[in-house]
Amino acid sequence: MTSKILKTGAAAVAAALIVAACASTSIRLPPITSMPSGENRYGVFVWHDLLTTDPDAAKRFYGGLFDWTFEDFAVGRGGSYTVIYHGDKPIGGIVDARQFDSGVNVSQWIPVLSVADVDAAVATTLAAGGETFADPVDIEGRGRMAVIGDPQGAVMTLLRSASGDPRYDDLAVGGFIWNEVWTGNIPGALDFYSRLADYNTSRTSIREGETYHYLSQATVPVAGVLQNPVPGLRPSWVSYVGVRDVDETLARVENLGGRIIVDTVETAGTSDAAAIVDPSGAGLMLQTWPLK
Amino acid sequence: MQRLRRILATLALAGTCALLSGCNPNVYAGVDIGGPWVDLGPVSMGGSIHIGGRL
Repeated sequence: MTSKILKTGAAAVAAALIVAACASTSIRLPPITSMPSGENRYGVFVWHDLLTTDPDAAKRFYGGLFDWTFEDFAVGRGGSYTVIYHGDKPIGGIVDARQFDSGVNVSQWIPVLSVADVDAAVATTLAAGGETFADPVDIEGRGRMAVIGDPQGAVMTLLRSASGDPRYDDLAVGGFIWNEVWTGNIPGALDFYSRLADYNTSRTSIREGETYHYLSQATVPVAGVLQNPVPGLRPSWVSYVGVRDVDETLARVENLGGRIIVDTVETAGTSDAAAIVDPSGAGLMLQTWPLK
Repeated sequence: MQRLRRILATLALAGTCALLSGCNPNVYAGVDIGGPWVDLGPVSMGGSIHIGGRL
């Protein structure tokens, strides 16, 4: 009897040690707000993560192009995560993709959508024919997250932030000003995202024969849906950074190690836009800000 | 024998960790598809195609 109690006790201690060891090696991420905001902005893109195979080159590139600054954090299990600051405001993160050893260059920007219920949003995604790259998980410091591919394959992250979401701020030069999904199935995308985040949809004519679709909260546009205009690009979310002068910014891209994919294009008479990739191959859009 | 026990214990710990939510790897570790822009070269839009953006 005594022997049985001792064995049971030893097993319990061993289990506790294993759990403790695991907890001590869990991943944590810095919050997306400098201070708890006490505010949630569900349905809004509140953060942007860059997966890159060359974090140092990314810092040089984006620091030189947008004057962003960076702060490295140890996140556990030997990993690191870099917070991107625009002025004193954290706006995104850099993830060193070399640690994943996935055999492909996964470098890309992934927009992060604030949602009230990550698990429900994932269930909606799967029911619609999408997929998960990361099932819902609680990340210490950051909140509950999941990484999904929409039914057409565009990748995004879902987050219920532990610190609340960034308060609304006037959009500024050097900050993210817009997000857009480029898809081959506009009706499918409108239907999916309406259900994912309870958006209303609307449209506007941008020039003869072309329509631009909005995902909106009430009447306020949150994101765009566009027929994929770039041959060879798979369905993707694309993020826009505001710049004073697209041409002037493009002139610095190659010296900083990036490439120009789409040279300056006028956008509906309100601004210029261009597409670039950073030194590791992650794509990003530039757009004149403020609009003309 | 003792060394074998230590190895087995380490493997058991690692396996258990993988099963517990507190031991998740980086949330992006499962993104196993190439970046969509990685292999793209310059694209000419010909001035006739809208590429979006905030309107």
